[in-house]
Amino acid sequence: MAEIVASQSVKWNNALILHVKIMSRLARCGASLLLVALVSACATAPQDSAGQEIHAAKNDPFEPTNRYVFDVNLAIMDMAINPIATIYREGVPEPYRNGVRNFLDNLQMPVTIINSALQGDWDNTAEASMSFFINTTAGLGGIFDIPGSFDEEPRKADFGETLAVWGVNDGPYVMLPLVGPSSARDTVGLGVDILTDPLTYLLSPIWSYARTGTGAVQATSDSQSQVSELRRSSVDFYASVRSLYRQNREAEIRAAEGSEDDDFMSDDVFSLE
Amino acid sequence: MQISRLRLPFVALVVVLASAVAWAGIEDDASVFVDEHGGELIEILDLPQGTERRDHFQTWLADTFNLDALANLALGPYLGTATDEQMAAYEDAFARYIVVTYEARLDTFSGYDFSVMRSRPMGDNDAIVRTNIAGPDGNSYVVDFRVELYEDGSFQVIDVAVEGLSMLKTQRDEFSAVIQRDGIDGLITSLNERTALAESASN
Repeated sequence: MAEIVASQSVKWNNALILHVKIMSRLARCGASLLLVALVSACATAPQDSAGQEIHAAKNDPFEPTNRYVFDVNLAIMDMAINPIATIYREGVPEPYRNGVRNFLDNLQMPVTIINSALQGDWDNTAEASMSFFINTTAGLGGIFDIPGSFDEEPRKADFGETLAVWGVNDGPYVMLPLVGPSSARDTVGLGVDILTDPLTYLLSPIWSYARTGTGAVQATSDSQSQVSELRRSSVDFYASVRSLYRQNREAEIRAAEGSEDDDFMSDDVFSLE
Repeated sequence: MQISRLRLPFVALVVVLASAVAWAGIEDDASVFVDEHGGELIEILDLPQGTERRDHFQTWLADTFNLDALANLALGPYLGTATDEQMAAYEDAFARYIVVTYEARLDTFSGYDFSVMRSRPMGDNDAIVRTNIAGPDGNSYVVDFRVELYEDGSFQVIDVAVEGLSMLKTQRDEFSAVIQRDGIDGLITSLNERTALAESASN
């Protein structure tokens, strides 16, 4: 018994060391990117008043670098993720794809439970805990949706959102390699979510990568037609994605703060300030 | 004087009640307007794609949306910086661009059911109408319409938000980015290019 515990503990320690190493490399990479961005590719503030107003509102001081990363991300999407997502959507029947989506959503639930509690949203903490317990047991890891078990799905929560609820501003817009649009605050949140997710330590690296890869394919297949339509019709796709990311994040934060739900419609959605 | 004092609370009550009736009227009428026009849109999107559907959509769009206000609002802080010639070219390019863009983006809701959920006033002359659009696959979206009341008693939509994402706000941010980089002329060229691309793809 002691040997099993010791071997499990060694496995956990190895996993922890590996993840700390990965995070440290990512942090160094991020720091280097940030330095490069700061030194070589800061967006210059315009001279005219309308330009200055827009420059301040978009809060994207690393825009040249962000646009470059965005183009690289799009190239990777076009070459690798989109073709796989198309095969997945056309080859796998919808009930199976729903099962994969439910399974991946269920894996995300521990992060939601932790952050709902940190936000003081006890209703959502209870709903997410119950959903996680029922789906993991009766739903076989979340693959099967248990009909009638919940009135509505719990709200997803993450640490970037928790920081926002605590009053932290989003900071400059950032386009992360492979991950996509984010902000300074949400990038810190993403790092904390990886470190506080129990599955980071329970899954071996290969399973962690498999989870991330499957999640990317699933998410792409879900929104492929809308995204390609937006890309086709946008006069500046990068600016559209930046705007949509911010609006979506603001809507999530309003929901976390309880200022927007199905019964109350916030004016903020239509505010052009 | 005594009578005036007695009457004052009564007059105040009448004024308050009258305003309440007026408020209730705005959002209720806006709901009816969105219900009628939303139903028409679902019928148009059910038509097969092509010139006939685009013509119907164009008429529906001009009836339902205040396209002049949309064009001006989409310019954000750059409104007023364009010359008269540039504004005329921009309004023309915008009117054609908006038809192909909105048709393609709203096409997501083809085959969906549409219902008004609730509404409330926003400011003096606007109302927000919340609708639910439910698809045969079980997916449903919350779509909010910002409706403006005009002096002649008519209504028109000036923005639509799908799941909290405003189409006008997105367009304004996008247009501003292009103007900042390429000027208003650059935006007009981009709009015309995108319209031509969308029209050639659908024909």
